[in-house]
Amino acid sequence: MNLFYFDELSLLITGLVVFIALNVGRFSLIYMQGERNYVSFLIRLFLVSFSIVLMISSNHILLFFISWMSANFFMVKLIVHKKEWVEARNSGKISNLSLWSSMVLMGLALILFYLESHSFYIQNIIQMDSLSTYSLIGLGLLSISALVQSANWPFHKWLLSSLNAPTPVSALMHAGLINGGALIITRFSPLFVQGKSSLAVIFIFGTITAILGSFWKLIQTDVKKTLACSTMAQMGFMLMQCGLGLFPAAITHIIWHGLFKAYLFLASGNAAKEKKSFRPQSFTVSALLMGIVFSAAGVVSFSLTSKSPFLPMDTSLFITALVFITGIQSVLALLENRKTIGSILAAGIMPSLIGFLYGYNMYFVEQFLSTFNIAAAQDLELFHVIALGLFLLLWVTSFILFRETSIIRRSKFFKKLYVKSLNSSQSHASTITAHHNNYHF
Amino acid sequence: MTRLKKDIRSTKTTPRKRFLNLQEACDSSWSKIPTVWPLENIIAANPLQGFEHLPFEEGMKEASKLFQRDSLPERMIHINRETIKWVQVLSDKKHARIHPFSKTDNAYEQWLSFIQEDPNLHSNDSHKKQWMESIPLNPSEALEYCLSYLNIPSAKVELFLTLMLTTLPGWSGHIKHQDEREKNTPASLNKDAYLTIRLIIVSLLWPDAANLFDWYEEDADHEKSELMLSSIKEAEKRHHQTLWEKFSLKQTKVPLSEAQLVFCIDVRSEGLRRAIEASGPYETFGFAGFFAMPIAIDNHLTEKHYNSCPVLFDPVHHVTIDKDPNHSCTSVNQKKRWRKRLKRAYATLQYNFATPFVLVETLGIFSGLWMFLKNFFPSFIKGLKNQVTHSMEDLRLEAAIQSIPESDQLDYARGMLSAIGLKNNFAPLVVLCGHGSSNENNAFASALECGACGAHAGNINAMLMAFILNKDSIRKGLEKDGIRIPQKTQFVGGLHDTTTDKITLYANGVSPTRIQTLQRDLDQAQKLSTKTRIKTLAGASKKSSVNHVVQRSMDWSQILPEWGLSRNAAFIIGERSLTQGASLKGRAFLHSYDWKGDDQGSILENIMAGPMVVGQWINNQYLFSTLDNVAFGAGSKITKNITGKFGIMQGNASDLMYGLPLQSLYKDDSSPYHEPVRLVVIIQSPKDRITKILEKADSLKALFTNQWIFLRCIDPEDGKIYTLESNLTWSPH
Repeated sequence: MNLFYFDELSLLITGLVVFIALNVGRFSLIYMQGERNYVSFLIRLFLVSFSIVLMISSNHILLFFISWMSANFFMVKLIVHKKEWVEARNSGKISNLSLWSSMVLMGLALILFYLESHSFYIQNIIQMDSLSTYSLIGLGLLSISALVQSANWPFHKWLLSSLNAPTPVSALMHAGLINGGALIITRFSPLFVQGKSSLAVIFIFGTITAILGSFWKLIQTDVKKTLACSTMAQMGFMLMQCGLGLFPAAITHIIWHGLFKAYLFLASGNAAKEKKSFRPQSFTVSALLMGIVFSAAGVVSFSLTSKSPFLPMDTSLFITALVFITGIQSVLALLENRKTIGSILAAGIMPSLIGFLYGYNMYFVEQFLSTFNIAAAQDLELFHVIALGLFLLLWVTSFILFRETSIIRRSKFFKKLYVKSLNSSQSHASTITAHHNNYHF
Repeated sequence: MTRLKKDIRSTKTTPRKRFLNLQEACDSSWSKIPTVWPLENIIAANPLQGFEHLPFEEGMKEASKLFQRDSLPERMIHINRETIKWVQVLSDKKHARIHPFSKTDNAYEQWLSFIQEDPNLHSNDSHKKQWMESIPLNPSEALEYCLSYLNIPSAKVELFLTLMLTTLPGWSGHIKHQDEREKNTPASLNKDAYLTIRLIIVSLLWPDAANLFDWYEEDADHEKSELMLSSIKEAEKRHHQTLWEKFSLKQTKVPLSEAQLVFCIDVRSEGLRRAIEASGPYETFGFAGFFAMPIAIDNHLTEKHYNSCPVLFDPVHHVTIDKDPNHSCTSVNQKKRWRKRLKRAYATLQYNFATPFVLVETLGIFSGLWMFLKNFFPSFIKGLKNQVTHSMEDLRLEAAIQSIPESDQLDYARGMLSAIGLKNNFAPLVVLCGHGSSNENNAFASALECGACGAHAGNINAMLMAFILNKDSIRKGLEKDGIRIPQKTQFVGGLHDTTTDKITLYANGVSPTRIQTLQRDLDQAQKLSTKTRIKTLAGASKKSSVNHVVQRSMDWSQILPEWGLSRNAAFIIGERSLTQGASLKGRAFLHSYDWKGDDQGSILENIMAGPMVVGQWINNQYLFSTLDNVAFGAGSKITKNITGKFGIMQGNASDLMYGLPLQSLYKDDSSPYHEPVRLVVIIQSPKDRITKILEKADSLKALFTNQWIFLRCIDPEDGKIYTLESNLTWSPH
């Protein structure tokens, strides 16, 4: 057995990390000019990226563990770039507490795996079959470690408190390190497929996180916290995909979400100029009917490009359903203003375009990972269906919720919900610079 | 019904008239708070504007005691966190997808109903909940209610209210701006309601808040203000010595010129004007960049509506800018409409349940590509963007100025020409040049635009004034005042890009041959001027200065596109010959003034009351933002976080930051580029004329007698330089 194991997964993630690092590095070269710690900042940026590449390519659990630790270590150093700023230091402390807990859990899990498989090598460990109780405990610990690393509820606070970091650091973190949870799970996916209860736990926490993050994002009033809550939701979704056994889909998500979020952070200086024109969502019956028809076409286009069935009867149904919802929503949005031939045409094409791109993006990654053989869609369980129902329900509710004059908005329930969400989505108190002069550059 | 009950109870329980002059106390507290302008138009403001009635040193000491405190009681920090949380929500109108408050109902009343559900405030304590319910619905009554609950002695109410504002100065300043400068609805938070909200939170979280007085008194040393003062004095000593070497007090005869160019008084014009004068037979003038047009612009091309005149004026006319619909711009319009539609669809998918997950996986690949292009091929991106931007050619200027009556057009034209003393000797071409700045991904972009145009680019004002001055009817009217514009003279609008020093001329209808030579010389001047300028910019290559500044203007990671008005130090009102040929290093505002044509002094009075005061705001803002970039500046750009599309916080959340960011003033974390000196105003005019003006205007006089800025006079009658003393007498320099 080798210290390193290069497979399609490590190649893909290496490609992503190198691309992100290249972009964030180039950006920082100018953006961070004049900083006291300019050089050490760039070095740390490199070290974080290098550690992630090392981690995903390592086969020896010790190397895996150490490179993981080193990635987290340098990331926290980057978060605390402005050392003299107490609140930034506190952000570091909170991240440290979470990430080191995650490390300890993972360390324990790896020890258990070693004891059970008598091997230091990941490729041997994941070939264990008929998991013992200890292995199952190890799997449980690893799951929690993944939940913490990817800032899933109830371990999300560190992510929402990390925005005292310089902007490029957030870009790197939201595109890189935060995805660690899914990387761990995917690396050990053959074990997870055997320990179904772990997958169920991951799925449930992922669902809660995705729902909370989605709602919190909608009520945020500043650009960076909005992005952080959005990442939280996306991380929840990513772990849901893991929980559904759709590991290639989760990796797909890591890659495309990473690029998406890194770009949004780097471009966040423009946030004040970009006027969002929200309207209370409204639609006519004809628009809805068109939405359903066009979006069905979108699902066909998705199933063609992703080479998946039109109506899958396993956990892949989840993805297909989301494509369907998104298709309808895009049609409603395009037809909201007035229906011209141009806009109907656009609305007709849009769901198919989305389905095509999403399907192709997914197919591309899955093809790449095909020899890796990790695609393991699971049978649909009741709780899967409940979760899907919840998403549908929330999406339908949004049409009422977004309307300022709706009954929900006037209710005591809404006020309670709003204040509760507002309070829960605050950064940790010690990381808010509430005394003006406590800020330090 | 419940509301009615509450009203009755509140009027009974509130000890009315306990606090006499409460309104006065409020007003006085608010007067100490600087106005914090939103990001879309960052107008320069003196952070110590509330202390200008005091002598400079005293004002600094007072302000320091309120704004530069190192620490705050722990309870107060907790209160601030809760205030920030709620004020962020209450102030936001454009960011959050779900804004909890209705746009039609009273903000304060709505807030009261929300905090019933906030355990961070009532700690699930039934007494506190009860107390909450008994808070009067009228903010002023509630204010009294809280003051008596907190046992604030009536003699100390004003101080207490002041402390409530100054312990969270940025957000207070934002509310002040919102209340005083924006159109207000019941749903927007006004000053009274804000102060009341603050006191309610204090009452709930720190019933013993009267202890704040002890904190206020405890460390009364003036270390910080003294330190600031000594660095000011040191810098001023250096500056005042070198300043006078530049002046030539001899009158020179102006040679005939091919073109006359009128620039904004902005310090960034100075270097370019010098370069233009060196590049050919050109004469330059300085005038406030709004070209005397008190207008609000409704720009249909950019879909922006803004006041394009100094904030000292209320706009008199509303001007609509558009293009001829039959022209070639339809394709651009169509592209824009589609872009807008797609953007809205994008926002709907991005801010929703369930759909964002699919969205990111669909768009991820494009985001990655876009990011890559922005990083490595910015000029390609710029080219794409230009395709959906309207060129400024063929605007319907005639239609635009119809909202300005002919007599007003004549007044503005006369006013501008007389002010700069351009009444005869017109060159064949006269360029009116507004300015703007091109940069990317910059939250502070509007701080680099033209202050005289309300922190927007000034090209439209310039084009409108040029159009007016080309009208025969206007020229006829001007002749009655002795301003004779020759038939062949043509006025042309222009835009000076302060990042690249490129001048764009809007010379529609002017023969190309006349423009060509000028454009060539202007390009030459751009080379000259940027060559000097890039020496001060980090990372500049020596090869091509123009290439470098253009790169800078396109780079989305560029944290310092240009230096803005850094190092501003002097304000010169007089003829160009005073400093022609001398390098003022882009440190002086230059306002043209012909003292011979202003016997009454009314032109000078206008210059002093308008542009000069704006110069003082700018100067004092740069001064204090440099001296303490935390208390009076916006801090580093690298950790900024934009809230509600209007303001800057640091990191997770903080008090609103105001003033200029670190990178606009400092070469690196610790070495300032801006020199902290107070503005020296130099006026070429008989000194009695100035004295008369100052005697009439107390607030102007106070700026000098309190030494917020200095005044020198070059008296043409004896050719000597005089300094204004604080007792309003002149002493020879």
